[in-house]
Amino acid sequence: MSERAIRGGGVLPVWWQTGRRTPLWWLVLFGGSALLAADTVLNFERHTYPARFLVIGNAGQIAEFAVGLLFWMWRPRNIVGPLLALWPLLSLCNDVAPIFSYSRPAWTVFVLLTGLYGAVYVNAVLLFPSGRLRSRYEAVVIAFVYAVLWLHLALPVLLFDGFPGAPPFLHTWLYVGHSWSGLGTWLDVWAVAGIATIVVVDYLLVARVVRAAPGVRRRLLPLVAVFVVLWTFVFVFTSLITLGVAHPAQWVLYPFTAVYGLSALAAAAGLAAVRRRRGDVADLVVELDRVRAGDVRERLSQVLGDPSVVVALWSPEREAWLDGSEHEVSIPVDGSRGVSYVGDRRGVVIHDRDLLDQPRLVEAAGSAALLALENDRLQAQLRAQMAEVRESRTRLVEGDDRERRRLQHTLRDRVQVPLAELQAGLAGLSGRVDETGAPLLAEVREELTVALAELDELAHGIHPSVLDEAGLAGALQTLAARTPVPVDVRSCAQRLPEPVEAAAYFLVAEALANVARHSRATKASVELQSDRGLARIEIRDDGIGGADPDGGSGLRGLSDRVSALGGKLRVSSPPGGGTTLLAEIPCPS
Amino acid sequence: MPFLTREPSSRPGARPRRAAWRERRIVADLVVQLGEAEPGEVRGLIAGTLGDPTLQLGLWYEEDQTWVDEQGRELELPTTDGVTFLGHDLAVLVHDPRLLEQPELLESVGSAARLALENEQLQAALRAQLAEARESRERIVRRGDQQRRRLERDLHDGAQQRLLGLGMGLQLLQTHTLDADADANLATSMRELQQALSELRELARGIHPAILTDEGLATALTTLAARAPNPVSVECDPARFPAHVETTSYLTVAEALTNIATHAHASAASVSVRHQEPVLVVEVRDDGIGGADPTGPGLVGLADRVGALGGTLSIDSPPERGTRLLAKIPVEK
Repeated sequence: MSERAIRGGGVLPVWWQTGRRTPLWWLVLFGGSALLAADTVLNFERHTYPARFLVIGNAGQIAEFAVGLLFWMWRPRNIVGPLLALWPLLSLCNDVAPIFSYSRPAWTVFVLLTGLYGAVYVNAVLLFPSGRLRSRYEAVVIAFVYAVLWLHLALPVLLFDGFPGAPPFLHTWLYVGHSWSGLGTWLDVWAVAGIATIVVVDYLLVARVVRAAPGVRRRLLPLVAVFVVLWTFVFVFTSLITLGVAHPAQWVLYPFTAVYGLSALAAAAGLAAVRRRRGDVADLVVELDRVRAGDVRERLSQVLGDPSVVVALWSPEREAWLDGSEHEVSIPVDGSRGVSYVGDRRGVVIHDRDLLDQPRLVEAAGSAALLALENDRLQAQLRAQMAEVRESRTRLVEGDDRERRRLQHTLRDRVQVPLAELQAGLAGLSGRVDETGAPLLAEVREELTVALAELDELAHGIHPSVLDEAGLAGALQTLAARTPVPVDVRSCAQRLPEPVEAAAYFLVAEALANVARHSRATKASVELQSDRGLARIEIRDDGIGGADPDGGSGLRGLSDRVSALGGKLRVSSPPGGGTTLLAEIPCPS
Repeated sequence: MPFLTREPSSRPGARPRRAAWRERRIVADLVVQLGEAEPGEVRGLIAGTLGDPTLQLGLWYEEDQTWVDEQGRELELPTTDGVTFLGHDLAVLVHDPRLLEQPELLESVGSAARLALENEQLQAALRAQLAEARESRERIVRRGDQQRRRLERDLHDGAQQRLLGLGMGLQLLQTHTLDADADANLATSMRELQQALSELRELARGIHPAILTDEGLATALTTLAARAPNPVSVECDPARFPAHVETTSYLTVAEALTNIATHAHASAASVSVRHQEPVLVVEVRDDGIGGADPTGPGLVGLADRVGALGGTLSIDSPPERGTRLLAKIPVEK
């Protein structure tokens, strides 16, 4: 077998193996690395700022770039990765642009890009981690952030000499003149708009953290915290400088430089939280193996970190999605919740939208939950069918019992009793017939006696009336008396439900008949006990054993009857070791 | 070794974190696959996940008290290491002993497999119980039918014949009486005997109509229809069917006609019995007031009986639109 058999095996580290790298990714990796290297060298050559800021700033940019690339690699279809990798590169524009000052087109391009890095970062944070917008408003806000920053930071340099009162920049291709009389007011307006925008973005982010499921919140928190504290400060301070309210001072360099490093750390923390969860599926599986269906949703919500999670199975009978307690679940179509189908669309997980960026986690956890739920539903269905069949079987047996009792009563009242009276009437005829008639009468009376005996026998087979008259205990004594071997009967005097008494009677009758016919036993015993709603009938003999519980239809039929009443019949008949029949039948009181 | 690309750790407790992480991800994938797998694919999936193509999956076979593989062949468990049991009497994995160095992986893969296999085993067990209960229900019905037929036969051949003979004996006695009292006594006796005999015949027919056994369903149903108070047309396949099918069909029609006579206020009814492989379709319609209650004891008992033979009984009885009772009873070869 090849190495392929072990997924994720090999020399390279697993974080690398689990990623997917497109040509564009490689291009950005190399291009970005070159840019960062150039920037680092340039900064140290020019000594624009004290060295400690340069070190911190550059390290932060490199880290941010790396985190962006990792995110991109692990979630190739998620725009957040490229955005996270892009913004530190864009932030280099200010530093790198002067190298290209000999070329106006290059300089123009750099100026066009200047100032966008902040907007790209805001964009990344607002989309983190799913890469999807939550509402139209967010799209508007993001577009507005791009516009504000670009109009605010790039426009004066692109069209004019630069910011009023600052040293002039090189002229771009789009240079229109020295300055514009309204430029100061124009910049002030956009600076104020910038402050307003950042407040709106802060509000959006805080609201998301507050509303998010705990598991999602954990991932968002570092990023949002860094943004709300540090980035807000940077944005607002930049705007205040433009408005002339604040002035650059050296202490400002600390937060401005720390932005890179702390943003990288926050993004890394968020990314790690995203990655870590999938491992919990293994624990989920191990636990689902032990918990029962009611807890499946609970456990799933823990693994996904989303207390609002709903898991449902498709029910073909009801043509609906049903949750663990068989309640109907409607699938939200307005996009307010994430919807993930699992197991060939047999199951669905409805969860926080932010989990949509982890389809494999949701799929794996959902599949495990599906297995457990399906298990439960199938069992429930089979049990229901079983209960139905058992009930119907019990009804059949009880109906049969009633029918037999009715038959026996009809036979007695309409046939046996009248014939017995007839017998008495014929007795009155004796001595009142002639000589030839006398033997005839005797013959008729004899014949009637036989007929009555036969009917008696039949009636007894239909339903032993002795059960109604003497109860099971008495009926068992009668049975024992008719058996050729001595039978020791021990029974409780308590009356049992009619179907139970009938089943017990026929069981003992069949067993004693077998004792007489096949067992060559010298003695037998019958024991009847009734205890805590369970009747226990045991018939033993000391014969040759070897009775086959499946063979003679007699025992089989009795066993069916016993199990139709919810009981069990056990036959133990080792060759030479006698035969024991033990029936246990529940007696609902 | 083909499936171990990593050197086994010299300290089993101190596995690299990333290996543990990888294992957990692997299990997540396995669960997804098991969720979509067909029963026979479980072994392959586990083998692939553990990277051990020689892995064997044994399932506990209660009946023979042995382990069998997925093809049902008996599986000898090796006495060496590399045997991992899943659950109590459920399944066993026979694998390369070196996998024991990844106990967490083995445990979680085992759990995933157990979840999937337990589903199968439990269902198989429940299905078997269900099948057994169904069979036993069918046996109860068939046995009941048999007993009724025998009882009817016994009554007919035994008591009825004897009483008929008795009647002839009493007739012969008429010419041998000595006084009028005896004459009267004898006449009463003969009347009583006739009465008992007809009661017995009625009883026997209620137990099981002899005509059904002797002449088949078509004749029996025609006779039954003739006794109904309202006109009933009968259209019946003249062929003979297994006794329990004929009996159940007869009882279905009898119950339906009784209901029509007592509740339906119908002016006419029709009975149709057609053999549509593999079932006998028994249909009884009337033009009465409808609204029949399918949960009444008679119809429930009938549904139980038809269901016990693997058939179905349906009742369509909209108010004021007549009633249609349809039974489909399997006719096995």
